[in-house]
Amino acid sequence: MALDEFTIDVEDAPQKGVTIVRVAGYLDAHTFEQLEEAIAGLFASSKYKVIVDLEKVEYISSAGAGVFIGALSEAQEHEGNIVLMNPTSNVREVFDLLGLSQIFNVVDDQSAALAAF
Amino acid sequence: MGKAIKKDLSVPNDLAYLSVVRETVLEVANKSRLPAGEAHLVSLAVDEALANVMEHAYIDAPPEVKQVIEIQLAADEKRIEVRIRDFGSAFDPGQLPDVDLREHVRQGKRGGLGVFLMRKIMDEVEYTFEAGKHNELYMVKYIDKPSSKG
Repeated sequence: MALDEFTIDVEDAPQKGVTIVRVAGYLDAHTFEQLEEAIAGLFASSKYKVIVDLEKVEYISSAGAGVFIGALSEAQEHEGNIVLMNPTSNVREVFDLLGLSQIFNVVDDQSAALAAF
Repeated sequence: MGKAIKKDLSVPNDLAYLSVVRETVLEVANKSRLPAGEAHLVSLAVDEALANVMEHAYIDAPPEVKQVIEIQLAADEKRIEVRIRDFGSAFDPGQLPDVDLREHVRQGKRGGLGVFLMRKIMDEVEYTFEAGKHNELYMVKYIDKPSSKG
């Protein structure tokens, strides 16, 4: 089932203290724990300024969106944030349905994401 | 008069099968008269329902219980119907309260969002439990009804 391929790449952003998490594939109840662990790993390293690149996320369910909801307040408590970058139209529609767009900074590109910190 | 579309499938109680079911729902929805762009939402509602079943229904199941989930999809001129049947513990998503997202964020909580989405996307969501037999979640999306996702 090649469609199930799910990858997470973590890299430092050009801006100091900001980390970019690039996610690709289906972010659902089957895969969300991998992303949850990746973000928990960043928090454990005191990296609380996180950009999540969603350009290659073809699908998101509430389990995937829940990762961001679960992480946001901890990031903000440590003067960080979770910025959601470049979601596809389907993913953005799910954010809208859930009301996430009103709570999260959802941006179209990396410069806007970096400017959010 | 367009023809009715039916598709039945049975999957193991394994989250890896969510994507298989989503693809099947998309296939049925795309063949129906559902407006382009709404098929993936119906697929999302089914995914949420199925994920709930997979996460809750069979947790305390004795070994003799078959851990499968049956999904029946049917579409005609007016609607898409979905039945999701399991043989585990009763779980009525209708009893869950509506989600207050800001409260979820404040508490770092993420549960209950799937049921919220199911209700928002589908026009009918009904749950039935037949003791000793099965649980069934029945959902309908009407094709010509204006979208309520607003």
